Amino acid sequence: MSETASLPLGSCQQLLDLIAEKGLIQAAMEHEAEHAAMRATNFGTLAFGLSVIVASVCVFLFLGRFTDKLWRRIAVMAIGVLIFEIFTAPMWINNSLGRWAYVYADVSWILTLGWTAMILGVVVMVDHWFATWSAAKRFGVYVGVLLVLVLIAEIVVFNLGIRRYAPEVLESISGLRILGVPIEVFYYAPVFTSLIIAFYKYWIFLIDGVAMVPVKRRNWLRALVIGFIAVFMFELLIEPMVRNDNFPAWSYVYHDISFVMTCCWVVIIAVAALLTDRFLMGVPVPIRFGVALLVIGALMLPIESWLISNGYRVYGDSAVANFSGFTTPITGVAAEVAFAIPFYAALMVCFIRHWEIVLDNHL
Amino acid sequence: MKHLAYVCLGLPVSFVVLSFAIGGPVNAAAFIFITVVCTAGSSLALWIPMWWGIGLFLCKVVLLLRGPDLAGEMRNSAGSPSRNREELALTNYVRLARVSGMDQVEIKRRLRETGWPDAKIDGALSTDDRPGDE
Repeated sequence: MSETASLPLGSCQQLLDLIAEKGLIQAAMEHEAEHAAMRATNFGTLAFGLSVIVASVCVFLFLGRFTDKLWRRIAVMAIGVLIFEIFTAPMWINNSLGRWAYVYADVSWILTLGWTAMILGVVVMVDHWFATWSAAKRFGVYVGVLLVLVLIAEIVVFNLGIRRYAPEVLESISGLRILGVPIEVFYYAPVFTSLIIAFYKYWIFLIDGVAMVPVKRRNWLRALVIGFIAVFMFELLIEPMVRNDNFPAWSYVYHDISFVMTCCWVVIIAVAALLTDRFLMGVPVPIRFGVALLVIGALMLPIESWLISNGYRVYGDSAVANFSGFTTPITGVAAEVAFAIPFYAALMVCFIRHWEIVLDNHL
Repeated sequence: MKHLAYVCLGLPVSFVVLSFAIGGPVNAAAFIFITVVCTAGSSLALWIPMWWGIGLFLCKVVLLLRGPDLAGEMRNSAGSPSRNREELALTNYVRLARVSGMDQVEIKRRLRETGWPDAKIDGALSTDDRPGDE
């Protein structure tokens, strides 16, 4: 089997052409039939899919003995995992899980379920066993344990032929592998789990009714440092998806990651935080969160569009192939770029707020 | 029934937003159709919770603006509305902190650390002490 393969949703532009040519229903049927082979299961992948479902159910039943509000916890964790998977979809290719196993492009609900059970299991059990430890120490334990588990899971999905990597990812990695999995998993896995756990924890603070001290005077230096760490480590992770070109040479800190670009995103997040602090104190957190995402989206979309139009941000072929072909009016960027902004913002805001809450409340 | 209402509210709202975002209702319908077809229907497991979430969010915003707590305080405020929102945030925190077993000294210390003046802290602590505020 080849290392890379064509992307299932990349053909949706072809589907649009087909719709114009043959009508909606006929086009949809032909398109689906065309891609059925790529998604068709074999014995190994079918067994894997069923094992993941059974194991996840067992994990959830087991966790029910150690925690309350289990369904809410599962839902929050699954949303976090799904946001991450959809955002980074162009970097991975997930094949052979069955026609019904995908929710968007090649993002599979079976893998989402598996990651959700794995991460939630570790978080709940570490919280149970190390309840007296500080939140920061427990966070380190989650990430450490999950590094081992993610590595094992990645080896399994790669060797079953389910997981392949986009060409841009293969170009950007060192070439060193552990049973087929790039050694870069030692960076990807901690970033992946850190962002998702921070997302989960932030919302669980609310669900559990943790007393979170309202901040009259935000520690901006600390907030900006956390924001910079979050944005930078995420930029590093998604480096194969998008290239930063034509920035001043001095601004490149690693490969094509520009200090200017990172600072720009951090400043936009800070502006959203400033506005919500100023005008929405005392308003329920979900509404503040929603407004913050709208503010970030309203600021980021035109900037991202301008950067794309002027050749500063160049999306890789796999990302472009994943675009459905729809574009936003006025700015003309791919709809997926516009939709990715709130996903990105949700992960960043939750990461920053999680650590601010932990530090402000001595958790 | 309530959850179905959230979905029914979220669906048209997200459709309108999507229409603006990708150039018209035909494109929006095609986009949803494509994602559903390309995933043999499984993406409805993504769309329906999203519609539910949008519906819930909108309902909460409307309730917040019409509700007696925040909006009422803002409307009745002779002074600065932001002052009332601050007081509300402080009172809520004090209440939750007490429920979680935190003592008054610790509550004061944490509020001071995050920049609150003593007068406001004492005001929130005394407000939360009042009968009927529990």
